[in-house]
Amino acid sequence: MTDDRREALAFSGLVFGLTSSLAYLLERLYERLRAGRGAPQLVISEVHATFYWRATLAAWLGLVVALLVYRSLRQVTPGATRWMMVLLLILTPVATWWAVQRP
Amino acid sequence: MTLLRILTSAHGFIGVLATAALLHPAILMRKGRPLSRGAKYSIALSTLFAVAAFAMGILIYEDYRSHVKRVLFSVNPTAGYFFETKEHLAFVVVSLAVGGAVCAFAAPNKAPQLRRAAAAAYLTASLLATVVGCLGTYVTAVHSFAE
Repeated sequence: MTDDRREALAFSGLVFGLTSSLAYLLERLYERLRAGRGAPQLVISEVHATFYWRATLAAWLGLVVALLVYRSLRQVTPGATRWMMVLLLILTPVATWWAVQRP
Repeated sequence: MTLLRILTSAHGFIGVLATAALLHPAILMRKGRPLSRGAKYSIALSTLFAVAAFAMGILIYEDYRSHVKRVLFSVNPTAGYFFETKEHLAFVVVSLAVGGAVCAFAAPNKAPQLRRAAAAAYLTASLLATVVGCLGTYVTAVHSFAE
């Protein structure tokens, strides 16, 4: 594999990690906006299949976006990688705040 | 000591181990240097620990739902919601760890910025795993499987 393709694959891996994480959080946002905070009785009776669907869909979206990025990339610019680092580091406080505020 | 308590403890221990282990690739790759063989083993094992902790959580979830969840919510609803939060963040941890691993192994030697970005992914995963571990410890302290 050439270095250009390896760079594209590496960057796509990061895109997968970031996209699937954001997709999961956005799915959860959609559920909360639609239904509000679940009452304890409803949370207790909820089947785990919803989590499996949410996780699988998020992973699938991450994979699709990563594949599209891989196809479009031939050379990864330093600017794009820096942006990726910033987004990844910002994800920590945002994801934590979001998950705590909206379990 | 029931099997479920053993599995719960193992899940917690592996989760804490994963939390610490996920920091290692972040430190190794912070300067973007090409990976040594030991570094590759470290990255692979760190990611495997995170996946294993996640998988164990899924394995014992149905028993948690049957034996713990209802009582947990009745005793302390906040702890019950914290468990849900733990699940969400755990998925994010695994996604970042897997993505970081792909980036770390695929990045060519001449691309230090990609390894630094992978280090950022592992740092984020480690920090979120720390939150997950704290939430899990608190939930277990409130209520867990019966002895």
